[in-house]
Amino acid sequence: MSYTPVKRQVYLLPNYFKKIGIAVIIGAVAVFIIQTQSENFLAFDENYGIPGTILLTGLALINFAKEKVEDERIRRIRYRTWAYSFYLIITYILIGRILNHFGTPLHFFESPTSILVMVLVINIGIFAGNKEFDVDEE
Amino acid sequence: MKNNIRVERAILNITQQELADKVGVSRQTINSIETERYVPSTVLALKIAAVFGKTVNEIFLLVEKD
Repeated sequence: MSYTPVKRQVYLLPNYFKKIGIAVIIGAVAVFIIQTQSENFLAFDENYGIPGTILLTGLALINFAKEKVEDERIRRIRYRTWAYSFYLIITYILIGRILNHFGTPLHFFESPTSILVMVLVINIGIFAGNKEFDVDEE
Repeated sequence: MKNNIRVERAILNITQQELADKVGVSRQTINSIETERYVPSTVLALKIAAVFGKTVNEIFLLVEKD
């Protein structure tokens, strides 16, 4: 007796995109290092927007790629992970705004790129942790 | 929620991976269910019970804290 897998409710990239994402992140780090060490390489990109964009792309590919086996437990972990990530990023933004109000403005907290990087990095960490140590709390 | 999956697997002499393949989940999910870290959905519980040829109530047992 065999069963067909339950259809996905959210579209996700194939699993091999995780490896592509890691390669893209390594590329982003390489571009950043070269850019900081060389005066002429991407000299117009003063705020390192290009390596930041490449980094975001790699993190997004990792986050939105399927696991090798997508089942109900993984889906539950993924939904819970996004909920906790959302709570944490709201906290991150609120703390940043408070710090900006009372002290030297930290534009890093308000940068869309930094916020998105934080969301995606936190998501990866929480998902990996939940996958290994998940306990059903219901 | 307690379960007898490990005992039933031993009776049928199948591994966690084999059971996982039969019901369409990962081996880690079967392991999580056996170690009571994950409560399966109704559908998955029915599939597991069907593999063992038993009812859901014979495989999964409610405990007081549930």
